[in-house]
Amino acid sequence: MKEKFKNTSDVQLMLNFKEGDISSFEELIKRYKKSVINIIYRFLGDRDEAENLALEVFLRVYKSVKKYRARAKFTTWLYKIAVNLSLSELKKKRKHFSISLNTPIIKDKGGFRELIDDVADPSPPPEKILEEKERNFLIKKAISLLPPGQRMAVILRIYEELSYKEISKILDCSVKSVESKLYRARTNLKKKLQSYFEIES
Amino acid sequence: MKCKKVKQKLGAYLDGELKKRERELIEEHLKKCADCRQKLTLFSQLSKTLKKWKEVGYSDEFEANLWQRISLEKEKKGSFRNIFWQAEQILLPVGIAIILIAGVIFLNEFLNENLFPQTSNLEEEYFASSALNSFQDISPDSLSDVYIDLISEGESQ
Ligand SMILES: [Zn+2]
Repeated sequence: MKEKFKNTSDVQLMLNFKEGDISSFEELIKRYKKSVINIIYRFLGDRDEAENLALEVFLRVYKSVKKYRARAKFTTWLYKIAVNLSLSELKKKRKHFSISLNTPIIKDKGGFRELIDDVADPSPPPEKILEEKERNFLIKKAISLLPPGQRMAVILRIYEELSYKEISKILDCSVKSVESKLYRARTNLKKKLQSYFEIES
Repeated sequence: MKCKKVKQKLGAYLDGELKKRERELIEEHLKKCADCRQKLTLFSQLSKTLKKWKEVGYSDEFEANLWQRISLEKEKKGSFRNIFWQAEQILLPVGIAIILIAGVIFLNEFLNENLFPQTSNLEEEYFASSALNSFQDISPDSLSDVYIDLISEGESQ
């Protein structure tokens, strides 16, 4: 059953779903829920919030399937929804917590649980947990300090490994602009993390 | 190529996003310039470090939660449609009634202003040209008869 869609393209699944095939929609969720949650998580910093917003992303896919045209890559369309929702969520937060703008604090309710979930080894030695936790925290913090455009460009490039062209479509900007966002982001991140990765290597 | 330009391109170089010509120029420069080589190493270490940020998982209830949200949305939409449908049941007849009334009023005004001035002129002429006794022959609601009378009278004159 699960192999049923092995060779079916995203666009084809979407078209099947448009014709009323719910299992095609379920296959798309299966393929992309992890990416969508993680794009939002890396941008906003909170796992539960990311999952909640990811539900909203797929709800929008469900609602707009009738209008869907196979013009672009499915992921471009999907990630664009995720990016736009993340950006509007950030704007909402800035309105409510404008004081904290200058001193971004990483709020991470599920930090420890996250860490436990993440470590592949079911019973890692305690020092490994600490190392991982420290590293995750440092990277997360450095990325959270980037301006939103640079932050999203880094997330889509480093973690989703998308091409500059696809990123440019998702962020509604030119390829040149993606390149310069990534250059500035890398320069910023290098300053913040250099001391850390020099020790590591 | 100058160092500054090269450094700006190193990220795209690492990402494999440069065209062949640009890539070759960068590589030529890197052979000669230790400073830019150093920067390239740092950028590549940075990418490796960043990639170590572990991804988060999803809860087992993700799909169930999604379907719940979808059905909630449908309910909302359904009840909205229901309200609209009910409103339609009331608003449609009321709307038609308003249009009809407005139409009648307008038509009335129109007839008064455009038709009756003429007829009243004609009537005056008629009354002036013919004796009052002929008025007795016209029933109050047969305006067409007045016209016929008037026309035949005009012709006969
Ligand atoms: Zn150089």
